Amino acid sequence: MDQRPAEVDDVTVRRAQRGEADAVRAVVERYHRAVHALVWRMSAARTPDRVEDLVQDCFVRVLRGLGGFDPRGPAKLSTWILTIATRVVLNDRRRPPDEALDEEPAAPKAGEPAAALDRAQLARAIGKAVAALPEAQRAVFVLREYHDLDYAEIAHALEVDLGTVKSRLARARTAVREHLEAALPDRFGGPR
Amino acid sequence: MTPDDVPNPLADVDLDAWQPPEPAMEQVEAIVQRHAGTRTDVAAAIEVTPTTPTRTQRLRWVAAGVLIGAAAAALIAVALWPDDVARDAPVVAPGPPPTPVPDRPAGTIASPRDVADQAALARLERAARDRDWEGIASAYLAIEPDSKYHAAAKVVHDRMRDEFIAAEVESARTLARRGDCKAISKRARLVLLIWKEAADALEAVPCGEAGNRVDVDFDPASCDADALVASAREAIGANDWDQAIELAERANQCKPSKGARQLALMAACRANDRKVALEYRDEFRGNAGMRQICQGLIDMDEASPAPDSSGGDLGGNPYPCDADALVGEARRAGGMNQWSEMLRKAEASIKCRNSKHARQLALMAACRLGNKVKALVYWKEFARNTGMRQVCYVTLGIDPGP
Repeated sequence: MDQRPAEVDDVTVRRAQRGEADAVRAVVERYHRAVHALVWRMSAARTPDRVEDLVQDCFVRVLRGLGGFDPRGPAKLSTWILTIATRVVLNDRRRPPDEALDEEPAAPKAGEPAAALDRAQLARAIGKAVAALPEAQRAVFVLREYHDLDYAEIAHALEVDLGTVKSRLARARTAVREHLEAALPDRFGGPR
Repeated sequence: MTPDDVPNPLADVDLDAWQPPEPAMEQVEAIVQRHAGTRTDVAAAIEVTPTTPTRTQRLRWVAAGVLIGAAAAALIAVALWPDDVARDAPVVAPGPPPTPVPDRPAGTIASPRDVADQAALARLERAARDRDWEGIASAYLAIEPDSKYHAAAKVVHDRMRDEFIAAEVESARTLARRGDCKAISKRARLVLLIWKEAADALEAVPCGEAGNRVDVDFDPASCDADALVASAREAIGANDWDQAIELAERANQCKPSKGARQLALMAACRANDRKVALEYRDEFRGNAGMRQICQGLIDMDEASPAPDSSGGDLGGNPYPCDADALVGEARRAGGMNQWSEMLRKAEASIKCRNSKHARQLALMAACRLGNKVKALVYWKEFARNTGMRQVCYVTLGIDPGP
């Protein structure tokens, strides 16, 4: 699971709210990797250019709305930013049609250890499984499994009930599992 | 089926194998530049940047300027000079004196930045006349620190800022005397967007036992009862009894627990808040420690008035109440348009056993009553509920939706 970035201190947040350039840069630098990872995974890793555009859109909204963020409020800045990023991806109406992913993993390079190849194979299978999820389930799955948001935070980000978050997560996990069993029967096909 | 009901089917899967590529760090630069560009674009849209004029144009402008200036001065002099004032008497210009700005050497052309800074200084002076605080702050920020207009702008800006802070602190002191620490916190958050110094000054105004920190955002649907109890304990440790009562009550509303109620009673007795203490007394009649703490404020042996609804202990709640009966009473009150009664019963039900149904009834009653503060407590959970949007759109000023 990706670690949540350490939070930017309150003073820096306030300075960024006042538009001080070095503080704005500090905020972007601190959360850029997490936002990029979220957007990339939620976009199902298919359109690198689009991911960059969405990351930029996300930060434009974050910086525009930063004045309204309360550093002493209940939400962490990382959660607030990831919430905006999630909504930016979900609201993106200009997504190009999904492209087919490669069916097989790339051939092993000379000297590449088998474990690394296995992991690459697994990564590809997980990517395909997540890409195949309905958008709503994918969002819950990514936020929970990769960004460590708790159920309540996810419910707030997606504006759904807590119960909906739980049921979507359960369905998403089951679907990913089934996909992995089909894609990698040698590893996941046996009895659990 | 929820993740809590079944074991995680991906427990044996290394999900971390699926990692995004490393993001390009140039993106950070692009974002910062884009943000800065947006601000510059806005400034540029406000300011008109002149193009470099030709020599002929400059001569024409100078000549026209001299003629217009002379004509205007003559007209003003004729209009303002009363007949009985000696022609050699000094003229007193109306309004504040213009801000002194170093002159540009003769024969030089103002750079676009100079023009922009000069315009910002003019905006700053206008905003100062109008007491437009945000305008003052933003116009001042638009003037570069090394600009020749900066010193003049700083004088006006600092004077107005200090005036603003003095007025804010004065009204915060009034609020503090009334014990309205929440209002001070809220105001501090607002003024932070204008001047940080103002927010700092408000935060320094003593209010309550331990300052004016109050969390105004509370969502019963996504609250953390344990964290609230821990915060209530901290507040008790700091002798901040009002804060402790509020936090303990929220903890109990979030997840009813005897511990939270005991903290609420303890804080209420310490704060000499008899009304709240009576609310929590019954459960702790046999507790020697609580009897001692509350001695002199309430009689722990006094019989309580009969509860609104009798009934068994539901959901493991030792509090003598029946959440379902209270919900029924809330519904009946609503059926008779008795919205205050409906809200009271719904909140009593929530306190007894926190349920979504009771929260929805409380929200509906609060919206019908036009009680925005109370409605906001329950709103988030039902923000996507079309029916509730239509009930609450007037009170909360939201879009009722299709």
